[in-house]
Amino acid sequence: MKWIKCTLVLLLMIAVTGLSAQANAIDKYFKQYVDDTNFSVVYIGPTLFKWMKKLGQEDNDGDRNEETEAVIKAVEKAQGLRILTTDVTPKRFYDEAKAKIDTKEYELLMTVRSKDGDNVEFLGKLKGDAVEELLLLSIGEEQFMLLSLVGLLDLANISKIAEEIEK
Amino acid sequence: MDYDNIPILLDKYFEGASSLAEEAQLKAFFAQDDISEDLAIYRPLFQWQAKEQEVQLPAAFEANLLSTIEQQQSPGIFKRLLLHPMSRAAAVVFLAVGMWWAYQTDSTTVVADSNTINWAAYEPKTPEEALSITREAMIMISKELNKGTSRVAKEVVKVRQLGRID
Repeated sequence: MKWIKCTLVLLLMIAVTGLSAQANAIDKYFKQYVDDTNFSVVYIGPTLFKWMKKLGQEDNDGDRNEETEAVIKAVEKAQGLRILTTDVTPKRFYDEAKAKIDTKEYELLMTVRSKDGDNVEFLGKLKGDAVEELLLLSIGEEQFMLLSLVGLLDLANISKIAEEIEK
Repeated sequence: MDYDNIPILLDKYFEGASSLAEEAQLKAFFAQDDISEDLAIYRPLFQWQAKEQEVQLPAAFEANLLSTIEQQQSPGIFKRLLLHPMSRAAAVVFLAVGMWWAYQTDSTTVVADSNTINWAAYEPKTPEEALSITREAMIMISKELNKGTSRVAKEVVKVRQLGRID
């Protein structure tokens, strides 16, 4: 029986290692954009997310408004935010990016097309009902943006941010 | 030898009631050459018995038999390896190595790619800055999300209205 236990522990360890090596779409498909000088890159990691939460808690003088509160709540379980933007040949990069994404892995959740030609695509890496990664492809006349938000996300909480602003 | 009782002994013999001494007597009788014709028909039976009793097993028979049985019973190298206590541990190690290898080959590109990107270099220097960026990004996501859902909601209302007209 002991050896069965050992096997189970070993398998569990392997599974955990697999989870910790969770990749995001940008690492997977758009590595070369990060190195590309035409792109501006921003990354917010898990540590900064933790600090953000603390920042609000330490603020007792009422500086932290409901809007910020909603933002912090929405990113409560976020592990990483990666934003890549470029104003050089945005259409070309947008088409290229769309062709690269494996639609089996990233499901198209929503497309929002504006009258002025702006287009935003919401793609999600889903695990059951939860969203593990939200990937945004946004194209305007002058800019292309690629945004990846990794972590357990609640779209309802994200939606509340805009509602707070409109209040 | 008293020949008169031979027919009686024979009857007893065929009935299975003869004693060992009586059977020995019968064998001795039929070993002779001079036997009356009516009894001579039984001679081959007793001569065959006497002859068969003389058959001996070869000297090495028992040893050969035992060694053959032992050979059949002893497991082969493969089976012996399987029965070895360490084989379980070896199986676990083999399984783990196999899974690790499968995982490595499956995600080589992903792992290699994330190793090459130094994401820390793109992090804002202060939490305030991070919050401001996150805020802007989340507001944008939220607005777009709501734009999409409100449009869907409008479309649903339209479809429902059409349904009523029909």
